Amino acid sequence: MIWLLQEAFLAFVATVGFAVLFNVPRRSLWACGLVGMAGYLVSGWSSRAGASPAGAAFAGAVVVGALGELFAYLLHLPATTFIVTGFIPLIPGIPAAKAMIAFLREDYQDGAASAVRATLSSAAIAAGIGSAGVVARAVRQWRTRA
Amino acid sequence: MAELRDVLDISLRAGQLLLENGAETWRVEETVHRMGTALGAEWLDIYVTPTGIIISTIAAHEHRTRIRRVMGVGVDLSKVAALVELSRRSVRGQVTRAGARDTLEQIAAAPRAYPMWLIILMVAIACASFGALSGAGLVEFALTVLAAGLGMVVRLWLNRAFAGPLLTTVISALVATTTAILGSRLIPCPRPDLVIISSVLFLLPGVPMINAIGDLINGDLVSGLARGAQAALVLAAVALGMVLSLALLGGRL
Repeated sequence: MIWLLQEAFLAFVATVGFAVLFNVPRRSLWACGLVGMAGYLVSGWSSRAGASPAGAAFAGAVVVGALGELFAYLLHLPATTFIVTGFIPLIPGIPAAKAMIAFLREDYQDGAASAVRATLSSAAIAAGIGSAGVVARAVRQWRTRA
Repeated sequence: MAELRDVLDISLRAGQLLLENGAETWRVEETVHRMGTALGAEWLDIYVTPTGIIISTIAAHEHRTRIRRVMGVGVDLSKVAALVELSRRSVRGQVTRAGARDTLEQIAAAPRAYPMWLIILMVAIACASFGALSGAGLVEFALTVLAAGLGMVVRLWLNRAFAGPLLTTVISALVATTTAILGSRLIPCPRPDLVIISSVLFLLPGVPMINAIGDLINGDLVSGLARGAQAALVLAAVALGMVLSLALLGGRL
């Protein structure tokens, strides 16, 4: 239980750190942290439940996209504010950096494996956010028609 | 037609500001299109790439087209939010063309919402938190805060001084990695590798990596490929800085 709280807290702090770097409006800082934290926790649960790294990233990204649209509506800010900061903890930064380091050391096999892993996870994040966006657009259209 | 020229001018400036501050390609097109049609054009064709924007404005069988070169892309989400808000106000008819022009320049000149020392501190703590999520302990956390913070200071200083983005990234990665290696030798800790890799996380091109694929999925192929190439170059620059430092100090990763 304690490790879960610790994980949630660290993901929240890490997201808020990057939100400050990306200069989000002050009143949205807490929401950015929550979105990042939720995405990270969901991707963590998915991978413990047996999902592949890309699958876990997709699950986390769907949550980031959905919560991003929700907070955009609640706080009257573009969803980009929450989505760009929220997907930061999901980014496969370490595999991407390891791929380039392996290439520079002429270790092409390890490099290619890490590069493919990083690209797949990035694609999964983009697809997850896109899926949530499609649903959000459908909901908006339905609300304006009703 | 002076009116059409005005709309084109405002649209180009708005598109440039959106792109320079980290808006996605589709959002630049959508926001500029809404604003341009609200301010007097009948139709706009907007072509956005990471290094330049082309806009045609059309009204009453007249048309005007211009290109705006765009350089240097950062992320400032307060500016993106302000620009989207301006486009919404113009759709509601609450903004004149002169008013829009003034607001755009106010947005461009707006200072950062957070003081510099706070940005550096928060970025350093964020990098250390990612390290802790991968299993780093307290000593590693403290060393990462120091190394990433120093790297961030160097990056901000070089950005303002002279270096281009790639050289800045190489040198910042070199400084962060060197600090991490020397620090973990001075104060031994079980996972020096985590200190090294966490200290450069703030340099990684995460936003272009994801936006590149988002653009490709949306059918913005040119923009997607260009952002992907940009991300690969920045990644290579980070790796170069790290490898240089590891080779000089004989560190292991």
